[in-house]
Amino acid sequence: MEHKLKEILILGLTVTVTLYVLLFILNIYMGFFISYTYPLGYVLLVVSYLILVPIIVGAIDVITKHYVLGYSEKMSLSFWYYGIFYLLIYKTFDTLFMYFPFYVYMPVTFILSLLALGGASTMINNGD
Amino acid sequence: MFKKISKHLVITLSIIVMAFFNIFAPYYITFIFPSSNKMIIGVDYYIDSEVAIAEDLEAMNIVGIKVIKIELLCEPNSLTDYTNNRTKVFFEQISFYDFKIAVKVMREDVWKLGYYLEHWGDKIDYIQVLNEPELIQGFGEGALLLDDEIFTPVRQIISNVTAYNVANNGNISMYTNFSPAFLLRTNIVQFYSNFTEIKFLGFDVYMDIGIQTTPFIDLALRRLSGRETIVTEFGISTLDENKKTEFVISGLNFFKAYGYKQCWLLYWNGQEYEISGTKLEVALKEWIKDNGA
Repeated sequence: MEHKLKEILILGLTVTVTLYVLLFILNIYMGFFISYTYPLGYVLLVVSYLILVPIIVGAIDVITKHYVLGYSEKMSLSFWYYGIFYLLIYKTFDTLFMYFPFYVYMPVTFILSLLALGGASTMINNGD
Repeated sequence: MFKKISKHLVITLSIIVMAFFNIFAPYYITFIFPSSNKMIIGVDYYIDSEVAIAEDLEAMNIVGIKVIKIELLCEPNSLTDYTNNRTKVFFEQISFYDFKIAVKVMREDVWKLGYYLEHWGDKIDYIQVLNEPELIQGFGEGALLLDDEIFTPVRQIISNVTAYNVANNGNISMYTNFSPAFLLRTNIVQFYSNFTEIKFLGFDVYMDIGIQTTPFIDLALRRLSGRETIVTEFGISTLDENKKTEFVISGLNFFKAYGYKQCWLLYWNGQEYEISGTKLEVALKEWIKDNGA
């Protein structure tokens, strides 16, 4: 039980922090993307958000499982599929709590995302 | 094998459900946490004839309308033209009330703007810098204007109005309005937001799907522009007065709950959208009495 909780926390923290960092970077450079040779930059922004971010998150999740937690199953290569699943879980909490003041929204969204993503990540790991 | 199929089915279905949830849930969540602000109601008004203006303004005042949006109607090359007289009578009549006036400047009106401001600038509160710029038709059939073809008149309008404000100590605020199509031309929103003279942006809402996706799209508009948003066009084209009344009132309830400070309806007088003389006029009066600012 304790081992399982540790796995959930490690995977949840890894995936959540990766998502926060990537979305934060995209948010900072959003203006640059939009104004860069429109519509090329905008297409790149959408592609980054819907394809690149999920792939990176999915890949980091798999790498953490196999190289940090020592999972022995065959490594899953469905990076985008699991990545978009994680992204949507995070966005769902983000949508649910965005009406609350920032000091409530920020910690609640982070903690719930961490637990949900960690739980989802440990459950869906079957090496496929 | 069954376990593997089940797992993938659950994940795929969750992805679909969560995607829809993120688009539509904000509409329903709005009613759980409604904003308690009062809302200013405005209308689009087409100056049809000089004769009806006084009566229309009186009716709007009774209903509780606070903002009137009109088209830029004038003919600088022919001072005796009837369009000049319509505008002249409108602004004469408006002085009896406390309405705020918004003037919609289209691309083809840019050359008339100087004359208009010179004559009636002191009575104007807002200038709309083009109408849904992302959808303006170009010269070719079905073709939209290129970015530069939009940017040039925008610069001209902003420059003319700013010059007027400086020269006359005027206080005309500028804004523009967007349809949901701005999501495909986000650089136009960004272009407008580069001007500090653009004080707020408008969002045009039509049909049920428009209302339900408003929080999702409005959030994108606010994040892209960094400006406050209001509803600058809202209405329904129908001859069924009950349907029109129900649609508009339910929309207003939602916009108020969402926290919009202003909603401008389409139109006071005009074809199937008309408010004047319909059941909606009576319902609107009641609504504004309870919820209007």
